[in-house]
Amino acid sequence: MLKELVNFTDSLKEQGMANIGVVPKEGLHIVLTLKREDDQVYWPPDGFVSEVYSKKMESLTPFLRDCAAWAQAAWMVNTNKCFDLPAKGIHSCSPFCLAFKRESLKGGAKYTDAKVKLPERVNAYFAKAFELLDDEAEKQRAELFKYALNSEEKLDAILSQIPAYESLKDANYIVFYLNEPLEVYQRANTKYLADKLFNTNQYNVTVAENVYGTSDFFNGFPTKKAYLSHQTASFDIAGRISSAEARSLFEFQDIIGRNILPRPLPIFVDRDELKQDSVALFKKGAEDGERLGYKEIIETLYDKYKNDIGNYYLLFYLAGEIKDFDFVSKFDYYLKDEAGKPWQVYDYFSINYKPLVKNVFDLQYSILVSIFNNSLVVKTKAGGFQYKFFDDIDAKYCKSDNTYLLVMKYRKAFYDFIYKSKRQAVTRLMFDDILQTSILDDLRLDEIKNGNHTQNFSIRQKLNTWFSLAENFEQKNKPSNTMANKLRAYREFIQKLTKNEASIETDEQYAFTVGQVIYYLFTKSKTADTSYKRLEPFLQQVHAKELNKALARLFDTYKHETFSSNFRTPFAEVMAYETKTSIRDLMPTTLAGVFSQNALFSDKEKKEEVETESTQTEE
Amino acid sequence: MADQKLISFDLRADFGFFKKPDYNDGILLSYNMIHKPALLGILGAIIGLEGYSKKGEFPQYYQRLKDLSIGIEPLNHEKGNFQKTTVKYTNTVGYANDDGNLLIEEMMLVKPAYRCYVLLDLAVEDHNKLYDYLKRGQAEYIPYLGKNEFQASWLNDDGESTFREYDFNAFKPGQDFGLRTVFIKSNPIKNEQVLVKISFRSRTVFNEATFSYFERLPVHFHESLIQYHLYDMAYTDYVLSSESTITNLLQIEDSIGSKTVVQLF
Repeated sequence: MLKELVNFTDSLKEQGMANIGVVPKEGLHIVLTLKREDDQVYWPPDGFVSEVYSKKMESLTPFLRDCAAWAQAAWMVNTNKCFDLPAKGIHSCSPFCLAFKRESLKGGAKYTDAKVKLPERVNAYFAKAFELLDDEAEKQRAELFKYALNSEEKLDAILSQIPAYESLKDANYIVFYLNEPLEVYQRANTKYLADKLFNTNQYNVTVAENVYGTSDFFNGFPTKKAYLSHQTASFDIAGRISSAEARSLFEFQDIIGRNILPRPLPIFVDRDELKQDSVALFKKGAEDGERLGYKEIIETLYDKYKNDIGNYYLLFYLAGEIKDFDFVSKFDYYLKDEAGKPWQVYDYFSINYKPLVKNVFDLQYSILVSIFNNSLVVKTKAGGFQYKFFDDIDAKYCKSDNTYLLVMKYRKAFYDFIYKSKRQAVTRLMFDDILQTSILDDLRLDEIKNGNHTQNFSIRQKLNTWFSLAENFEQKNKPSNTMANKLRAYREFIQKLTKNEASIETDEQYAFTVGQVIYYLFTKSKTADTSYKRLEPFLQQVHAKELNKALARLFDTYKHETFSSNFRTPFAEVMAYETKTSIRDLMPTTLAGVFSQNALFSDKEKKEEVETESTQTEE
Repeated sequence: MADQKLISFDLRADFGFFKKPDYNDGILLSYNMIHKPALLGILGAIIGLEGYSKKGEFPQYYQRLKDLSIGIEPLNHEKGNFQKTTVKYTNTVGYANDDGNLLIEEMMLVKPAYRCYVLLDLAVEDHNKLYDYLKRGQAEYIPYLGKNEFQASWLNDDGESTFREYDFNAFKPGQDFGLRTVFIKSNPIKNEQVLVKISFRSRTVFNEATFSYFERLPVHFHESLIQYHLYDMAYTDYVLSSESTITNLLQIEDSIGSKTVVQLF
């Protein structure tokens, strides 16, 4: 992986992306300028300029842009490699820069706790920083810089002249720079990094004049974790890297930390033109201040290279952690069924929901939002989308605990399906599990509000999706008899059954008729709570015998009501049917029976049903 | 040559984990393809050779088998890839942790399967033993794919051995050819591929592009750094050009007479 990231960083640098998106640290930036008179260099006490940077600022002033570039060449690798050990309060590592947080000065949270106060540590800091300098003139100027800052009184003298200092928060930085050319900063920085880019210099070896050492890129020495270190290996270090590679990885970490690259990030390996075009897109996005998403990048490249997109590593980097790194040999953009047509959701359950799913991103934006109840791909109120493929998700923000479990269980599979074109990642079994669990959850959560079922649209939307798309996730032996075909056949069958022209012969015909019977009997109820929750006792049954008993009890409750002639035969057939098949295995068919147009009503009842049926809208 | 045998066996397991030693913080990644040092370890386990035991000294299996020529062909893959999943482990026992609980997140391969080709010289005792053990489905130590909970088998679903023997000859590309195994690539693969050809007579497309797979895989150990030496490797179903620069190719023929080309390294 490291080699790929090194190559990628080099491509970014070739395209001039090394400094794009660099911003100063949030806080106060003060630049000290030395004066030269009669071959004498000195610092006049009022010789400074300052500005405050806040993340709320839309653009950088030239002054802050200079500060950002200086800081880039003056910052520590990490707190363990700063010059202010063990206190770790000074975060710059340059003889021309002194950076610390407001909290380290008088009045700050860390000031009182510090055994040696920060202003008293400044001399020690500069003593180490001066080791980075070879040029005598530079050393003299750095000395003057040190003398301007090396006591509490001197720092106070400068800061008291800056009104903005008073309003700084503890977490804000105060950064002093000496007004020197950037190259001077970079020279000292190169010397600093030469020693600090490896995790430790203890294991450095030189092979063919190249120094190899232990990588610092997400690498540590877990000496306190016995199981993480190889106890009997021939080697001390599993893999050393060269100093040039260490530098590139350091730069990569810096660039990716600026949030200017897409997430996930495609890193092309073989096609030079794809690599160049993608980096050019990242660059344009970063310059425009709008980070391009993976979708936009792939679609733009797809327009140009059509069926040739592939051979890239996909990196998902989130909050300073690598979450996934995998190879994609070919990107399959379009979703097509057996007949080569785009996936289509049909409106089998009458809610006018029939999206066309032409490509993987249509699947992501229209289908995943609904089947995972807006918890995996989240449609925000502002109209944008958020993705939770690798984020920590709090169960309380999911529609139900079951939704949370479904998201956690299947999100990696959908990530692989969409972004890595791994078609076998999502199987029919998984899709059935998601839809069945999700629909049962909706039934449980259903309530009647303003005379409407709160979950009616959601349930029918999921049923449409399930009956339309399930076969597309079948890996092998795709059935010729699809859920959609069967649904049509059941609907024709129930019409015949009501007219006594057919009888129940299969378990699935039984399950569909049961659904119709349950719904019909429910309409006889005069109770205030007519929500779908009432379906639960029936859907929890496993044996047909028990289900029939439950139906008989339900019938008994409403036996005083008038029943249509269309009801008689189906009910009698259901009562007489016996099967040992688990009712749970027939759940999709039962649900289809409940939510399909009910054939058991008489013409008069049908009219009443239409009049009282709630008109649903999307929540 | 008379004592040489080219054999293959299909190695499979429910899961596999061939750890990338690049970094150890955060999720630990796995190579997608079994690599040569790992396969040598498995072969060593089969004939009872010792593993890692001493600092600064290569394990017995590596010392004895490092010159063995092997080839790898992924099975039941998707464009060279295997499904991957991540698992979080927690170990809270005191002797594993001096500073709090051990939390590890690992990516693992789901149902990895590889056809491993091995060129054996029966005059060498280890090779002879290997031939015998592989043929009989016997192993001294239980072989596993990267971690000892991922026990591997070279029997098929019916419990029969997948061991096969081949006739073989050195292959010099005089015509375009397909390559069954993962191979070491020295040039960009696009220079090695034969472009799509369309027959106007039969209206059919030859050599329709489907995939190329790339991975940097360990082939042996760097002797002075004592770490994996990685090579750029590729796997593709493209037809490769007769002018290809891919080396160490063998044309092999199995017992039913079907011929293919493999690379051994």
